[in-house]
Amino acid sequence: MEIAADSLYKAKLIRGFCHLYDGQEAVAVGMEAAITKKDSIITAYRDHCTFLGRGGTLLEIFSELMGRQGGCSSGKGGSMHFYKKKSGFYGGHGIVGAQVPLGCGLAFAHKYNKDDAVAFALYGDDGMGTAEWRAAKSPSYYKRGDYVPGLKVDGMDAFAVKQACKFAKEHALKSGPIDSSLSLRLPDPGQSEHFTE
Amino acid sequence: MTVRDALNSALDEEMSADPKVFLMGEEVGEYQGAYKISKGLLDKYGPERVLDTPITEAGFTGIGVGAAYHGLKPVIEFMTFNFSMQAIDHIINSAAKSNYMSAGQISVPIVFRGPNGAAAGVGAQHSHCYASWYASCPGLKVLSPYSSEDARGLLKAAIRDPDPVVFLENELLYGETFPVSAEVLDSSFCVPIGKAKIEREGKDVTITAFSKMVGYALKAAEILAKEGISAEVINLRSIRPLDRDTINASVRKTNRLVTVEEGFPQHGVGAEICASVVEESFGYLDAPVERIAGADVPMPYAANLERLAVPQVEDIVRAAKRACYRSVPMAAAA
Repeated sequence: MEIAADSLYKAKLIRGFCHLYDGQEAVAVGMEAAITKKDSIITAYRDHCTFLGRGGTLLEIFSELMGRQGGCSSGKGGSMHFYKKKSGFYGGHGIVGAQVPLGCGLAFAHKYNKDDAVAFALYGDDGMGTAEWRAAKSPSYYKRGDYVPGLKVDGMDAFAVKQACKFAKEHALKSGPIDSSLSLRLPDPGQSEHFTE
Repeated sequence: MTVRDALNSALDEEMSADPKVFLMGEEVGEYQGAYKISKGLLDKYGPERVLDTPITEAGFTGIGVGAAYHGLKPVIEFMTFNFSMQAIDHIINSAAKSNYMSAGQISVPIVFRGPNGAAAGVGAQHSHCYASWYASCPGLKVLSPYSSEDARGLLKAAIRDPDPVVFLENELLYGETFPVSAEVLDSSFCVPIGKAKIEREGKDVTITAFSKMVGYALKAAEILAKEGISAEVINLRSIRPLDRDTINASVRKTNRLVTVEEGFPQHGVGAEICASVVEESFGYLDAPVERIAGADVPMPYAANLERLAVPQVEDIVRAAKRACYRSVPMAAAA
């Protein structure tokens, strides 16, 4: 799917931004395997496979990328703004870092409603050519904060991701937020995907 | 000279002339600038004067304003002004208001620059125009260049200015080439802040615009000329302070006004211009002021919808004709 999107983008049939998920599929797949659609997910702009994992269809994805009415956001959002509220997917956000406090808000709502569900807020290094050492002070994200415990996970292994998410969900329901750092090995070395919940 | 080269040369010359000037922002150094505006500057001036920052606008904008308090002259680059919202507290509360609140003790000689407004297919969160937002705030100067001459002259003026300046560029104009005279290429060249430029003289209708819309207004003027309507096109250059004298003098000559902007209509730049003209030149108006602005919706992604959401040359032509009573008036609240 993402390779096809890449070709469409190069052919200028997809406009604006197009952030691809290929190489990181284990994250979306592993996460979905460990949670339910009652749990919420929110992410940044690299949302194609997250949307797919939440039950989106290829038709909705490609229609949206190409600006058609049949797209999941009726062509009005584009690559960065996929949503599927029915399945607990809250987007698709363009402003770096915005999804983190929003994710906390989703978690707050889950806690407030006592619905035994959790929120996953995903954030990455924010590549765009910004090398990790330029983008953040400390790349050991999972050690961040005295208040929030952390996990370091191999993000290329879907089973490891699944176990981490299962553990994280149980921890969050019992004790509170947990930060997990998923390392990825992608063509641009040093990128990794993180999530907090 | 392209607008990109105009901005680059202005930055280069001002950094060369004054060691207190430094550039800070995301990707301005090693990457040579997200849009290559700061190409070559890191090599020339070194990492102490060209600083790459992490993705934290609130942080680096605050740092810039603090440095300006102490007498340095920062140029803070926002990758787009959409991201300036993360730092707007520093722009307004820390920078704009300080000179007044300190009774003149603290001056803030800082420039906030970057692309503003719509690009192409980048969606609602990346296409907002902030001209009217910043221009409503006393203590700020807000500039928006159109041509390379504007880009060079206004950026140099902004860097030399002792007050905070918001410098709104346009991504789609960076690659455009404009003729520049020898005077413009001189390193002392400067364009006065607060003075609009009459890009094309006319006598039947005044069209005001800034940034990319100046180009559209000029094209509209060409079309109108063929139909016997002589349009005067004013390139605002300065949104705050607004050159009310030039605008009003023009309207007193033509008696008709069309304001053009890419941003949202409500509380926009056109609304302020209309108010100014009504206050100062009401008796000279022969027709209601026509306001052309972006559609009152978050910017859609689909290409056909985006085209409908942004003013086109035909919209300006139609508005000018309406102001000249050459076509049917538009229904209100369309």
